[in-house]
Amino acid sequence: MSQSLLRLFKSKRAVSAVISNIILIAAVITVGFVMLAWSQSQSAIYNNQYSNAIKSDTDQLRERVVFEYIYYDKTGNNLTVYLMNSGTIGGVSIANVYVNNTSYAAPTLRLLNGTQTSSLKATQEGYFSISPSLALGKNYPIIIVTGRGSSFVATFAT
Amino acid sequence: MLPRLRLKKTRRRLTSNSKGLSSIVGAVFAVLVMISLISTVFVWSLSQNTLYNNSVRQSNLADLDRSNERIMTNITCYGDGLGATGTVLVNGTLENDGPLSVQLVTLWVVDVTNKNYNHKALDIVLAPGNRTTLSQFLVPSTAIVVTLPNSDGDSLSCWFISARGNTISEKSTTIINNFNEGGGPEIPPYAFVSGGIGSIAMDFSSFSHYDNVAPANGSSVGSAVYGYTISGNIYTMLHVKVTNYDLYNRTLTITGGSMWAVTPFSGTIKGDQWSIANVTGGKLITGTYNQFINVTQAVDLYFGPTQASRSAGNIVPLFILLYGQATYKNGTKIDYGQNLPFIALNVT
Repeated sequence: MSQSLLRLFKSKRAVSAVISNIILIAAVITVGFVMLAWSQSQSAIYNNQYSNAIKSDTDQLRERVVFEYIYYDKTGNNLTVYLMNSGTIGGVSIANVYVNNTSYAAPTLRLLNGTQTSSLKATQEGYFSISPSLALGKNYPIIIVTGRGSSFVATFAT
Repeated sequence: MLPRLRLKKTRRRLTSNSKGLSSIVGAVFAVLVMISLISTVFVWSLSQNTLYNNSVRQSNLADLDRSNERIMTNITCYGDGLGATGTVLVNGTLENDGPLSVQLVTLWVVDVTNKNYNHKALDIVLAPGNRTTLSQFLVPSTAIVVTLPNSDGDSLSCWFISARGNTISEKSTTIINNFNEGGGPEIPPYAFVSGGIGSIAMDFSSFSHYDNVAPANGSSVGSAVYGYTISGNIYTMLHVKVTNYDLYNRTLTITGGSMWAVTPFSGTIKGDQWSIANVTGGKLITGTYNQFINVTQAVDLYFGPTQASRSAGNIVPLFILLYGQATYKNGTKIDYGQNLPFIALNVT
């Protein structure tokens, strides 16, 4: 053993091999740690994106909007839609309304007491008004699309 | 070469070759990276899927609860008052026939004729099997009043919204509007019957008679006897409970001179009569008689005492002849007279 160590120390060629090996191992370890850190950060980013997607899906699942009353005033060409957020999640906003193949983007949402609001909390009631041109004595479907992308459909008679 | 020797040689070459060490370290790191990536993502995916599944389950449960809400209603909307100050009274019963508690949060009332509508916030909680009565006639404080301009003859419609988002509309509705021109509470369905046969309704089962009552002020009337047989040889008092179901919401005043009379029949020139009497605290009080009966109020009427000797030995028909005044809400008074038949007596 002592002889082999002695031979190792005496051999000049062996020193360069050891140094090169140490450098190689250090480089591999460094690159390895960098890769590990990168993989961790990438997985964290992926996890974050995935959890956001899941949260968005679950929030959308929990959204429920019911139509309490829909009233069309022909003289004022005014359609008032009364809604309630009957789901288990708040922050229900109205992104789009479709009536008679016409889209109405982000109508002004108000609570039943007239206060303007951007969204409805759980069990909160509100309304919005739009001005579609509709014929009297007919049935029309109305589709509302929430900010989370859920859509709810009702039919009303003018 | 023997396989054993070949294996030994390979091992020696591997251990003596220091360049292979970095490959091993690299491989270890590669494996670590792979394990780290896969395990983190896998576990995270599992937890997110669990969250999603929980949300789906909760959402399905909420939908199931919503579909299980079952409220039986028998609601009537009454328009009351005219013009801008008009109101709509909602009366009736709400019964929770479902397995879950139900909270009613909003009432909507629509005047279909005039296209007016309004809503009222409510907080009615009905446990399973519970029933609530909304009635301005029986318990005025329970009536729901919604401000809604309306006119005579308008059609009204109303429905409730539950906290779970269900619309609960009436099973059967009698729409009555402004029958009394805003002069007070509107008319319940039974009042239309009384409008046809008289405002005072008799509780048939309450009929009783009191025997051996001396016709003197302060005499005790004794105990009520429930039956339709009386003796013609003793003084008897007759009793019945009546209720005012006046169509026009008038207070009725029954005055002296009202009586319970046996219709004369063959063999009698004049039938027996029991004059209306005041009984207070179980004692006969003679003097002027005035009995006020408010709408939906039930009162006891006493007649007699009389000896029904003329009718003895016969089964005789009796008629309650009531006379007095009907007073409108605005104070206007008019005569009121009503005849209540139905009871027959076996006079022995």
